[in-house]
Amino acid sequence: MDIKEYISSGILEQYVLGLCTPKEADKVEQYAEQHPEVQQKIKKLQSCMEHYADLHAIPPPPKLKNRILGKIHHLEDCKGLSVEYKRGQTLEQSPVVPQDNFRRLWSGIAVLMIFSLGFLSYSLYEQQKLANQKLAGLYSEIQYIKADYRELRVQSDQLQAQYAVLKDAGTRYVHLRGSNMAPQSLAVIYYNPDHKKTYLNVVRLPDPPSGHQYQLWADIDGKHYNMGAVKVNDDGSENLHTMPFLENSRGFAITLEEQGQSKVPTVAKMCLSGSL
Amino acid sequence: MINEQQITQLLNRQDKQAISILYDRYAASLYGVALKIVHSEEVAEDILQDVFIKAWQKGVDYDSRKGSVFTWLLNITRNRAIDITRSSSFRKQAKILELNSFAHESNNGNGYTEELNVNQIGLRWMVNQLDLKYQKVIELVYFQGFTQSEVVEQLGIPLGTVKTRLKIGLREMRKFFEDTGTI
Repeated sequence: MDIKEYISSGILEQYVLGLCTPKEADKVEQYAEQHPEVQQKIKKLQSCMEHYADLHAIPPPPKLKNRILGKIHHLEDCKGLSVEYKRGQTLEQSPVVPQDNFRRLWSGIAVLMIFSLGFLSYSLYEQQKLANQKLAGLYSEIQYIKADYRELRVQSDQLQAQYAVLKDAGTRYVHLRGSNMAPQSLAVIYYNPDHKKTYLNVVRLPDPPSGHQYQLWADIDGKHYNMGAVKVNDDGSENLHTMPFLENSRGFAITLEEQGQSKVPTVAKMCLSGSL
Repeated sequence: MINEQQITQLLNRQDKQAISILYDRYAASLYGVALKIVHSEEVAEDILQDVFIKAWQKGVDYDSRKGSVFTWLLNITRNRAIDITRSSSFRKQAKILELNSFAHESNNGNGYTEELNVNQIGLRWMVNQLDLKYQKVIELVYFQGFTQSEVVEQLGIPLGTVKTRLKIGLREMRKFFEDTGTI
């Protein structure tokens, strides 16, 4: 058949509009492969239909795209699962010999499927067990983190309170200087009668000999009152120790006492002192 | 800008990135075509989903020698939409919807029914330019999935006339696109 005749016969328009029988369509594709002019005409007609479709374009609802991509993602995951189990399969498949009974083939397939299902459900079970273990681990981790957080909050609150006092205009600083007993020692008392707060900052103090501890005293009208034991910073970090607030304190002193707080300061063992 | 060849490669590898790109480019046209066939937004959305999932699954089979990706997608869309209009459940629903159809139909006296709800400028332009008799056969075939014999029945014209009108109709359409600088 003359190619020009074929091209102008209208068969290509029918092909592009999906009106050909499978036989006719095969013929068209054959001609297209053999004759570039046929291929060209088909391309032009298809392009025409594409533009026709574009004229009818209406934007679909915006959420549709993600819905579709999500579905495909899900299908992808399911595909991955079945691919994985195929890799793990170590079954020997029963050989299909042509002379064999049809029944053997089918029972072989059935056995294969049962094993495959068994393996699949087992691997799913294992996966779930693993997931549950992970979950339990995560849960206890969360508990630890919660506890840590609570501790940090408490510390943070304390620090904020201390800072507030230090900044406060009504806070008096008292430097406690070392006596002959401990000449290099230094401590600072922050005393705020408005807030009724007293903080002690131990800057430098030698470790007390065993069986002894330091004790803080307030000088009120010439008499010394016990303010409690002085904790030496164990980790060397700067921190303020909250001490009891005693009104009308005029000065402070730290003495070395025996373990177990003494009621009266051993003046001879006074290490630091200072007055407002 | 990603080209047709690169998209084909992604499709053949079943890379879902291809689907994202194709959606951005063609979803509106495909949706519009589906909507014109099934007259329901809900069904058209489902069709779009079916089309893109199929495109992802059958991407390995796409052969660029047979036509562009867009043409491939259009054919999948049209076939799916027309299949749905032929299903019994759809026909039942359509009967109910007939009472509150969104497309106003009018009979222009020639035995044709026309949808007046054309709201796109380009489409309206073409509708005005192209002879009605060509438009009608193309629409019946393209949007209603009629075979040529069904067109013969519907319009009461001989088979030869149907073939000729399709041929000339497409030729006129092509001329329209060339004249308006689309091509």
